[in-house]
Amino acid sequence: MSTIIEIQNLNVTLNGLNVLHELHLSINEGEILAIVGGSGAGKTTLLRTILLLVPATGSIKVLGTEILHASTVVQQWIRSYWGVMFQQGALFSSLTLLENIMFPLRQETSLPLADIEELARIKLALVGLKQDAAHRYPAELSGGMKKRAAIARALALDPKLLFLDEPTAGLDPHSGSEFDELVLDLRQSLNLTVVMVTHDLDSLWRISDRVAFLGKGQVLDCAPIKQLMHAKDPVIIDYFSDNRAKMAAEKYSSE
Amino acid sequence: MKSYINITFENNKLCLYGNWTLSGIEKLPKNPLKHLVLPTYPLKIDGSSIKSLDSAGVYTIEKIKRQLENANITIEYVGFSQQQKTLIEIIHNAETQTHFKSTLIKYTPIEKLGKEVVAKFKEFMLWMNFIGEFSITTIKLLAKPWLIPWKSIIATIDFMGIRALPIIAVLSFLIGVVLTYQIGVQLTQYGANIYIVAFLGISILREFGPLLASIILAGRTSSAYTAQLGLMKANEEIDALKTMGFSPLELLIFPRIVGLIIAMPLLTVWSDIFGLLGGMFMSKASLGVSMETFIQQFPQNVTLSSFMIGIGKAPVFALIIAAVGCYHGLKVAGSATSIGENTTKSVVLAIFLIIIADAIFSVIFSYLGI
Repeated sequence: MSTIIEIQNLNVTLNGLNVLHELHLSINEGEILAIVGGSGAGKTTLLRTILLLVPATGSIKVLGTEILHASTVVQQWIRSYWGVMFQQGALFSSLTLLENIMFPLRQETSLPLADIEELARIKLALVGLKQDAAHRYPAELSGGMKKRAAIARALALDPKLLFLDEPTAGLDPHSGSEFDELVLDLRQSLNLTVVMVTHDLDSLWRISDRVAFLGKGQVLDCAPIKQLMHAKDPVIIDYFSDNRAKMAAEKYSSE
Repeated sequence: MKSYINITFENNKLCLYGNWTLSGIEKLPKNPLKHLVLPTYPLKIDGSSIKSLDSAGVYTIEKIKRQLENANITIEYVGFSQQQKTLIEIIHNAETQTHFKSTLIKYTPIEKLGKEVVAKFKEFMLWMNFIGEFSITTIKLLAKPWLIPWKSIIATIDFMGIRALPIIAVLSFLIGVVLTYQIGVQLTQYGANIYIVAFLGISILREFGPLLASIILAGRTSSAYTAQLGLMKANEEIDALKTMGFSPLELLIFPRIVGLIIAMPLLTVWSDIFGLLGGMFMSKASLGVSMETFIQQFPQNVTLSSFMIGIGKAPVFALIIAAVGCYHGLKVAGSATSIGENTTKSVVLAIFLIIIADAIFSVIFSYLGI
């Protein structure tokens, strides 16, 4: 397995606060990596830093190319290799669902419109949305549908990397587990590498290959969830020691 | 990264080369099979030389396959890896679903007209509803004055009134200058320079002062109200207030409207002062009417009623501006376009209604002879 993202000595300061401090993390191709940590640990900041939305110092290599201080050409090039799903979906509210998915295709490619629409419809079907939802606006969709639509838009350009910010937050348990299955399916079929910030213990146990535990602005540990349960660090022990975490562990480790 | 793509016919197989990806298929000619001499017997599509494949590539391959199948040629895939086969299968399944397309309904012009009429009528009813609700809230609050949200009212006066002072002063001053200059040219021809005092006094106090202030506020306040309330609506903040048992009309709309009704007559006085100052300045410069003469002549030519009429119109204009702005804010329906649309509508409608109201006032006053 080769490394797809390599982060070294990453420092991020926001409003005078050192949010990430000398952070190291490497992400392997084809894995589902979950980023967890207490609130304020810098999970979302880390995600936004990799996505070049937050200024930072240090080194981030994606597909072997340094992106943090790269030229805009390189940054633009690397952006076509990843798709992002934001927590609230961030669908363009003035476009229909289909137009939302067609948007990046229209901007990036010179394909005929009929092909673009068909490709967008395929993405719609891939994430399990019905075709009759195609002409609806984001405001007319349920929370779960919005999340699926957001993933469909993230997949529009066939990225190698998929970033998910709290994909199951705000979904009912049933939709949440459906969403987990969807991520697994997509990873399998499209050969994706998935990086997700999550709080969902079920997601952690069911779909993550490795879990990066963030605390004090650093990665305290990065290991499969089973190993993480036996970690020595008091912050990690504390995080996984409440009842819900214990129940999830019991439920899945017996399987 | 350079992407390369090619399709050839060799050894009775269609061989695919290079990057069958989104960036690759762009380079494929519109009809990739055009230059190939193809047989009519069953064919194999060989994917063993494909460097990379994604869903856009699979879509293109499937399109080629369908094209051949329509020409009654049986197609078989060979040389694809297991992973590529799964991808083909998944895209194939997804494609079968896309055939059940939902189509947009198209209306005839008559149907469109009908829909528009119904929509406008519904909007009128909503508008009436809003006015009714606001009146009830006002009566309720007047009966229980301790419930009136004074703090918000004062904040409105500060934000929409005091902070509008500089812009109103500058624009009124300039209008005073422009008016004097244009009329002055005519008056000097008859040597009637001194009548500039009467002209300015009456036109600014009765018309320009209140109209100018309210048009500036229509642009400044009405749009702000719509955007503020619209975002709150889109954010479900207004629903949150309702569930807590608070009335958005009491807490959000009432102070905005009442604040503006209080601020507007004061802004009109302010606008009057600067309009007259501009006129006075220009009278001295271009008509030779000194400031002392101007001030001396002023009470002889301008009655108090002119001033009172101007001030009297102001609260009505304020009510129009604030009510239109708030109403459109509450009509926003959760999208960025909707906020923009309603903001535009509120400004245009506010200015439109102000001028209509002003015309109605003119008719009434001339009928009454004041």
